[in-house]
Amino acid sequence: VKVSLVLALVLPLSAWAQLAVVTYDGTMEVPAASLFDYGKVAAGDTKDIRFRARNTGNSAVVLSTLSIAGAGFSMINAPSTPYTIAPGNFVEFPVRFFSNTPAAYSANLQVNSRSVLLMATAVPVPALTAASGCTGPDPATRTIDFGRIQKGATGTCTLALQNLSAQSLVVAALAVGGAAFGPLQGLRAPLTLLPGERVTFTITFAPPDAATYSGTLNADTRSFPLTGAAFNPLLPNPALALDLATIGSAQQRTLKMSLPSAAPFSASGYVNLKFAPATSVVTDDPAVMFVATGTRIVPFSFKQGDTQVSLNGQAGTVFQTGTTAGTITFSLTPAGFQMDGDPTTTITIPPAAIGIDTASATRRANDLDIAVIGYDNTYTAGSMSFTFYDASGNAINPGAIQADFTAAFRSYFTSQSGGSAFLMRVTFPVTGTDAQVKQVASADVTLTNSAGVARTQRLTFP
Amino acid sequence: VRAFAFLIVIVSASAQIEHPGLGLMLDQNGAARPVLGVAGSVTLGDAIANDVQALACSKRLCLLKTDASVVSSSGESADAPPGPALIAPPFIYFERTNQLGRWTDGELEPIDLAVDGQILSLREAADGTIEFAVARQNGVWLMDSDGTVIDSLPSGPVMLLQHGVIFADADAVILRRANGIEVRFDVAGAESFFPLGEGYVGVRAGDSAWAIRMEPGREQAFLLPRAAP
Repeated sequence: VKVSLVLALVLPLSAWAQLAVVTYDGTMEVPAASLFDYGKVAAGDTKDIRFRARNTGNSAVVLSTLSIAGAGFSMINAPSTPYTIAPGNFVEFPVRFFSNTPAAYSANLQVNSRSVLLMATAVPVPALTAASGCTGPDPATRTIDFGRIQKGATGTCTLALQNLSAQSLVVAALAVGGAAFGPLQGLRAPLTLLPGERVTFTITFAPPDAATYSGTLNADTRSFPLTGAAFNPLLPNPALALDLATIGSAQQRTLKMSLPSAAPFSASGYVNLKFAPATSVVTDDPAVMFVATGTRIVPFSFKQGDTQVSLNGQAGTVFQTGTTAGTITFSLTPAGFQMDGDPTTTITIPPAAIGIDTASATRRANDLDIAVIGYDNTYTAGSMSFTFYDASGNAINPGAIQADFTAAFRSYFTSQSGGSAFLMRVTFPVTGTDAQVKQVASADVTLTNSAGVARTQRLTFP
Repeated sequence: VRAFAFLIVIVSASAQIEHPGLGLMLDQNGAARPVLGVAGSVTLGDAIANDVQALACSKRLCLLKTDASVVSSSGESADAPPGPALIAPPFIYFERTNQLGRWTDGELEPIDLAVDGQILSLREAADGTIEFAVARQNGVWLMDSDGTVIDSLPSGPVMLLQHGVIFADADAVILRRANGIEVRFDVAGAESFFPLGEGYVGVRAGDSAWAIRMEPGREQAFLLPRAAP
């Protein structure tokens, strides 16, 4: 009987004892005592504390009471009750303090049967404004932005503190933290600001590298994030250059990139190639590309002090001019730096007579076949003439035979997207004895487009 | 103008036009792709086969070697030893197992191999037999299928051609025609050759692939593009 009585008294107590009220700072939990002081909070500012109700026992606990009573304090996103907390688990309920009126505040936080007295003091603070060299503080984040300056340079932000209250204010601490920010000059804490008094001070921003920087300005209870970015100095305008040979279709040319003076920093980026055909028959020519990548983009890089820029890891990079007249434009996409000018370079692939790559003549029983591999960068091919010769080199009647394959070429050009390269097979049916047919020994082919006339070498029938 | 008794009927002359191609090559990912265009202005077509270890074409036949099979252009396939191969249709040499085969009527027939040394290249001779470029400690040799030395060859990467041989030194690729005439191409650092197409040989040099145009009077070296990612 004695043992049962003891257990009956202990069990309810142990059940309540499973629920602990703690605060959490994002890293660790600290048990909350019966009094929790928010400390001094600038009037008009908010201060949130993350409270948790943690079940430290080995059975579920029901959170049935969660409330706060008192001016200035409020609960943010509180869970609705009843709320069952599993063993080892917790529920979080941030509590915010906010007041525009300087005074001392208190409130009672009730977590089931556990009470915590919350205290805070709203204190008047001077207003902080940016006078020059920076912007802010941002109304939402309080961030003071130093903007973007060249690396190695120094930016100076002038800020003002003003006492807008009717009583003197003491600024006990004023400090700057963060790489590249500081020192703070023109003021030394502690200082007293009379009603209406305004003082200014400066903070320097001296970034050593091209990067984004952040820091903090602490003024007593208030913390102001500082931000700024640095960029590399302007790169001397790069020059994109080709060798001096005349540019034309079906060429592979080497593009090089250089700087007029030593690079002030190391950097990288991309060279981009664009192509615009001169004809409306096609919209592009896929053969116009950098061969090292098979694309129209190639990376570049240089080191501080270089005047020669590496293209895809080489001194130069080869591109194809394709088989279409038009303009090729090279431009740069710098990665994190700016250039002292626009290095965009355009070259023109002029219209040209049909380029003949290979031509051949073959003979079958009753046919003479002529094959021509070439390209027509004007996309106007079609007009041709064929002249056949005997073994003595005499032209065979009727002399030059005119043919117009314009429609066939137009159909070919518009049915594929591989540029103007073509393999043309022309067949001439012939009649006569085998001996007569064999007297046709060779042929010339003349191909005409809008840019001129091209002729094959004398083609010999084997 | 001389008139003949026969008539060239031009009224019905017709033109067939298509996209020209240089041949086939393996891209950086082991995919076999057609090389389209004209010399100096080429693109790679869509892959026709993936995971290819070697390929070569003759006028009548293309053969490609995957890890464990040989596939012909007419669609037949046969099991094959794993690893790289040297192909000179209809012959195929399996480097890892040192086996030689001949593609006949859609099947791979083994052939006795009586050659000592490292086989660098092979070709079908004019009489239908096979010839090898073989590296030995005392040099590189052109040998017949019996292992008889026919000629000496320069050391380094080499490829036997139908009418000559192509090889490389540190600074250039050299085409030596059957008549002994040599043509040099400014392609430095050549590491290996591969058959590209009629009149063309491919060269691998570091990350680059080159095409060598061998047509007499039109000799030319130009880069082959990488397959776009």
